[in-house]
Amino acid sequence: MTKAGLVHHALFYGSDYEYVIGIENFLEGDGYDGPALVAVPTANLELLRDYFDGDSPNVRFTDMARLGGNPGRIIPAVRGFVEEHAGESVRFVGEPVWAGRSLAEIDEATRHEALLNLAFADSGAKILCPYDTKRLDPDVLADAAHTHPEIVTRERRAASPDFADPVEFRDAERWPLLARPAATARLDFADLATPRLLVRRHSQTAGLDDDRAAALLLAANEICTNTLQHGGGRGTLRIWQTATHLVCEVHDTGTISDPLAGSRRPHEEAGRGLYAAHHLCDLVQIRSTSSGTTVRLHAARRP
Amino acid sequence: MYPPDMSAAMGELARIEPLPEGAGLRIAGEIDLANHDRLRQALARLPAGGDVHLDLSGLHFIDVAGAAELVDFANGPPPRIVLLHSPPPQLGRIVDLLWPELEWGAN
Repeated sequence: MTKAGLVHHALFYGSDYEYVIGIENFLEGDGYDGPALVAVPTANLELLRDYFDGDSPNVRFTDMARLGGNPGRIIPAVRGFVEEHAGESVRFVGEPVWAGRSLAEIDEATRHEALLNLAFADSGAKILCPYDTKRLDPDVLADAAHTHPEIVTRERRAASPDFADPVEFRDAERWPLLARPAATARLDFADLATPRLLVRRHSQTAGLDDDRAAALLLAANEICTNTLQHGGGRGTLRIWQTATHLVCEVHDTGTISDPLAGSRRPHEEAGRGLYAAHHLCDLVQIRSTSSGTTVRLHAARRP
Repeated sequence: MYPPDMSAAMGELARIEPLPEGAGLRIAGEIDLANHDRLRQALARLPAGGDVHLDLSGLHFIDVAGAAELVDFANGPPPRIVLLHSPPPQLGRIVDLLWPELEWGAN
């Protein structure tokens, strides 16, 4: 079996009918009945489960709101599925962008879409990403045309003329983080015990449950550890609350040059911290340039 | 959940003490970048052979690399059976996340 290249289509759908038939064609096209992973938001998951009604034993359905609540967890999950079916071609339906997600989440999901082109470049996998043209913002759809080499609509499948180089598209300068509030807690740190004190204090006042508080503490500690080891030995930690989340931001003068950092399950020490952070937080945002790195960790206050 | 510890103020985040008769270690306080080496050395000094008990009832924090020290020790060589007593919940979470194939349980 040849394993080369990657198929990565956006499915632009405007109705349940277009959604179901587009996914059916993708999953079962060319007589395919091999392994497939389908991760879509809750409501669409119910629609697909009812439609396929358990008669597709090789298709695994899962809720994208859980699997990809933080889009940084999607690539490791798909990699796991690919490894589980080593030697076979696999298909993946992933819908990480849906109406109602926060701006920060949509930004990260969009950057994740660009990263898929790098992560699975030579895997032989076929990936379909549905986009709801009725409910998503036109800018979001325009970005989907930048991150997918081909676009499927009800009428046709065609190369996307707007497809962009994934590394350039993800460039940190093009994805500014939302402005911080004027007042944040701030700590310049060169150790780890002091940052942990600050995170603990604010987790408590923000009303995080014990599980999330412990997870955020661990994630923040890992990011601050990276600062001490690779980011110039000192950094700045800022913490603030939004209506929905507690946000910890770590800034240092290091540079993360690998765009896939944190999206592989690490088999050795390097990369464990970012990978863990992605799985411990509700959203992780990383912006790294030659002059410094900023990592934002978000923990939901009311899950 | 977090009793502040005066030893932290003195730069001593973790206390790592041998259990009686070389049965293992009591690890208390907070394990992070500042004391991974001390943890590794304490584990390496344990007598060869036999099960190892780690009393973690006073452990308030352990980071990913700290957990890796415990996992590496258990994996060997030589492989050891390591019994964790009262581990903090975050340790189980780290192990499940990064070493999902590892068989482990806690007392």
